Amino acid sequence: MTLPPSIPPRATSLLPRRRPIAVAVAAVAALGLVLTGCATDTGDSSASAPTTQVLTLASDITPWFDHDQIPSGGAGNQIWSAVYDTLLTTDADGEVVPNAAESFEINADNTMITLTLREGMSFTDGTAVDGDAVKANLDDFISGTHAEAGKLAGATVELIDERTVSVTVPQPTAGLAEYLTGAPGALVSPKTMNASTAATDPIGSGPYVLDQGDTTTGSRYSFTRNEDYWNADAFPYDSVVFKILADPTARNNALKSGQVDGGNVLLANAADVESAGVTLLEAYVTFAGLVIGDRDGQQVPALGDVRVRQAINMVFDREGIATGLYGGLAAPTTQVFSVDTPAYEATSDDRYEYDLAAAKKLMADAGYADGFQVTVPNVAGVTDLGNPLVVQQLGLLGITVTLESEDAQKAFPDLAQGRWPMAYMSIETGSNVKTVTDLVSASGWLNFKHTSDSELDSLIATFQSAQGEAQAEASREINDWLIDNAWFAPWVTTTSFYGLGEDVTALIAPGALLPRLASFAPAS
Amino acid sequence: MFKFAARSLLTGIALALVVTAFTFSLVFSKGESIARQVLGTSASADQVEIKIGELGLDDPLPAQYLDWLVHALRGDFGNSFYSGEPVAQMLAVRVEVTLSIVLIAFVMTAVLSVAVGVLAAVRGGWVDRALQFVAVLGAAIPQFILAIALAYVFAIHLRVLPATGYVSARDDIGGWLATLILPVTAILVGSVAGAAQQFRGAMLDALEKEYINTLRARGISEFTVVTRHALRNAAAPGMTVLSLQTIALLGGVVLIERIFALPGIGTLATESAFRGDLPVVLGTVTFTVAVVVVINFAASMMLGWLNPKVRLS
Repeated sequence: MTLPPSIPPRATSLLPRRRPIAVAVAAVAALGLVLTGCATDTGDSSASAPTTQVLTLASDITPWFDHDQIPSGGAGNQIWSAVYDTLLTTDADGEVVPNAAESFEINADNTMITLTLREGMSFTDGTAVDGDAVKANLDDFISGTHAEAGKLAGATVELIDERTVSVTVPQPTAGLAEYLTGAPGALVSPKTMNASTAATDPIGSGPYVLDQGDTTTGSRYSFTRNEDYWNADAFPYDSVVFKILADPTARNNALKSGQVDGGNVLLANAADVESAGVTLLEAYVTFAGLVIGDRDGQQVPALGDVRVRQAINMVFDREGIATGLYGGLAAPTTQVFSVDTPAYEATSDDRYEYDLAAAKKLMADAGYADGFQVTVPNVAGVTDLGNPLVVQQLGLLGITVTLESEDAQKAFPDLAQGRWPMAYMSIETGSNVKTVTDLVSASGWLNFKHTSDSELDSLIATFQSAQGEAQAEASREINDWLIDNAWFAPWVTTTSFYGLGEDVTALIAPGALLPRLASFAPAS
Repeated sequence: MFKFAARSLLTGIALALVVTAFTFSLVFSKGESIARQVLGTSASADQVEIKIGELGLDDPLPAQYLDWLVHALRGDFGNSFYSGEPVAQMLAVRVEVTLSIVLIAFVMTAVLSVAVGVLAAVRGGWVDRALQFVAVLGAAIPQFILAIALAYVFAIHLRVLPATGYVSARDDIGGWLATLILPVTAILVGSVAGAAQQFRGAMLDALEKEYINTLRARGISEFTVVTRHALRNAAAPGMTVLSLQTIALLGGVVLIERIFALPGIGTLATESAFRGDLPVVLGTVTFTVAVVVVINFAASMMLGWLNPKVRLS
């Protein structure tokens, strides 16, 4: 059979020409209308108006609840403080004030603190928050594996009566009260403290209780009000939700769309986030620059000469760094102490002006006119900003900088164990106590080589045993000594940002990086 | 068909065993490092030795793998080094998120790419040219750029869809769909464009065959000719591309989950890898290879049904 010649090789139409497209457009439009309506009803939707009953915050890290892992600062502290009360806390001015302990007293030389607990407090499992429970927590912390256990090394805890406990340390410790506002002062139910469930079912006496049904580990942590909390009025929200948004883009989008009421914002994203109507709180507790750990010259003899370290300080144009590298969102500094702490003096920021000729002269005087070689860590995502400048500028002095790549997980423990003589770092220093303890003291984890000096040790001893203005004066003397002896080559104090949605207020206390949970309140 | 199915299944199982064994040997080969990871850098040598014994890390590697495999077959993937939570429990919570994205993206890709590919092949003209253009565009724009742009327009600017987060279908179907629209759309653009091109090409080949003219000559409607005859023969290459794209999607979903803060397997895999949480790493790898095996098996069965010659090859 032959084919009729009129049969076309391709179809002219399956359906009338315009119908498939019209049908498709109509279907998509209808679907969009339905889903838009659904979107306004979702608990997780940006379109829902936030209420004053739920506070939703973004965190860039997954929290810990184990007693031997909870950190004293940062987002991790914000989260665990929802469920664990602390013996002491800080007020809006950064001063240490009573909390679970209704009063405290420190002896004259900062070797003993006596705490009197409030009456009638209990953990959410019914265990009383009494002297025994506090002693159990402190003993566990002191003898445990917490990274901050060294703060109370050698301390003894005495139960004086049912509500009174004293902590005695072997050496004068200026931070005795301040430490108890953080991890060392956290109150965890003794019954569950070291249980295998502690990480996923934390039991505390704090303002909130973990809602396990609404919590997804590593993603969302939901807390509901602890009705028996002694200070419920200080926490206006009935529930708090922490969304773990590690990716800065996701965090920014959540802030800008109103999905979260607060979250930290990277310096590079600050302008963009602010332009979307997010309020930015600022903190100035971080310095960026070089930490010259090998002050004794154990690894690199040249770094043991103060003239070399001073020359290193003089080869960086801090004004140019603040503008060019940090987009103007940083301030030049030669100091490691935070700007709003007693140790800081604005005039000291002029101590090391950029002067290449003078720097070279110092190097020549020290016998290193031809420079020397030094290896520093190169950690992706951490040192990317500073290391190229380190290589370039030190190269002007003839110092050959070798970048040794290492991943972040290994780099920080290795750094703390003195693997490298020097490193570019961005360090949160916080309070004077934190700076002296972590950065300056021979036992400080950021004093890589655990170097010390008899004159500095004497200043630190004075600081540790002093109180009030005497302690402030001692901190200024430590600051001056560090600048004169160039233990560090700070470049800038960077601005840390915390974004707030339009429906909430909060504040960051001096010396802190983030707002405490208790500082959040409805904007109205 | 049964022999064909059995052969496909056995191949998949062998693949799963090879991949998990290889991964296990990579991550669990250094017992001391693992013990230090768990205990922290300040642990003493004695403490490390004790931990190595506790975790069975001093056993021969094949014995360790066998022990892990026996437990895994019972649904026990061990506990997270980081939180102590059972890995199976962690996976179970997140599987729903990733499967929601992958399955919806797969179905939408299949439906849309078939529809668009067939339309372009049959209609030609501006429809065909538009498809070519979109295909190039879809391949050129990285998914994450598209994801960020979609979030900016629909979540931040228009505020009609959520920028981040996930709502379970068990809690709220509307919310579930709303949280998936932007992530799935970001994936669809590239995958539909690519698959539609395959279906278009295969349809053009099929429509030029002589049996098509014969069918038309017999008076069979054009709709039936295209959908019941030409499409069936053109489906095989398109199915292959679809299954490959879905497997590739498992890797690409990691970035999408991160941008939209979706608590899926991809996010868990990257976080556990950064933390050195090895039991979780192995658990996510096992899940991923299981999904690949299932997709391959399903694709093989579909191909075998569509084209009996495949069963005999």
